[in-house]
Amino acid sequence: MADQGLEGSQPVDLQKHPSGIVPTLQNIVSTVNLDCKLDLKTIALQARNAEYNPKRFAAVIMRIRDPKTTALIFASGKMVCTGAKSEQQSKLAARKYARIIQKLGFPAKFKDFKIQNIVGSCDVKFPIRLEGLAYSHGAFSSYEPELFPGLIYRMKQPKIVLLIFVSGKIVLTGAKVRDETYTAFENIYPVLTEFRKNQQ
Amino acid sequence: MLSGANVEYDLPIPIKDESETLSDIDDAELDVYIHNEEEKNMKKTLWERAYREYLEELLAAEKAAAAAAGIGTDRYGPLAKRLTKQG
Repeated sequence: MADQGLEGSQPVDLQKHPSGIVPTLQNIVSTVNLDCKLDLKTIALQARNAEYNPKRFAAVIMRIRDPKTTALIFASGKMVCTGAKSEQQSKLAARKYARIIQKLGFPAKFKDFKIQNIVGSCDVKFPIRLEGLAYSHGAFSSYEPELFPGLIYRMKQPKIVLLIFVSGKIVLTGAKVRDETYTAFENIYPVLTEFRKNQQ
Repeated sequence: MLSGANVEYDLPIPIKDESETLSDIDDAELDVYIHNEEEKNMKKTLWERAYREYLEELLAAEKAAAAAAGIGTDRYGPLAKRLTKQG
């Protein structure tokens, strides 16, 4: 994990991030409609960066180096782009895939681009009493350490799922815009400090 | 501005619904991802060999659909011809 908060190269805007911590965006999933039918075999045979195993999965899997991403390209012309670290990178990558499809001879357009999911993570750098948090916030929490070591917290507003680990590492997923990620973290931060595990 | 290596924007990127040109994308960068004619033909041969069973299933499905529709057997497409040639 890169340095967060006040140790970072830029000062944190404490009006927006009163905790002093800014979650790092780790993965963006976006979709776009190329608005034309695609012959997946033609794409797979002409593109160096494509795999197509029709018995296993009904989409071409294509990858580019920069931004480092993976796309799923369907015969319907719908495309899913994963792996980018920012919204702009996700859109740039999707546009590159669309351009590759155009260069292969298909009349691809670029319609209805949408960010579908944003995954963020950060580290509060203190240990957390997951049992206490789960008991106190039972309506939102799911904690079964024998199945999964993290507490699953389903925040209602914004509608974000957080994974909270005893180490203080936090994962936030389900955002459509990054402010949902930031708001969810600011909402949970006082709870995390409340259930800080005191070392003896 | 916000801290963190991956934080680039204060606000979400506005999303446009309109179709847009992709003409500003650098084509030279993308050319490395596209096979030349020789590479394409080699890959085609390899792919069709690897997926011969799948292609035969497709052909059988085409035949079944043609039979169900009452279409004569001389209407099978290029797939049938290619597979028939291969014996």
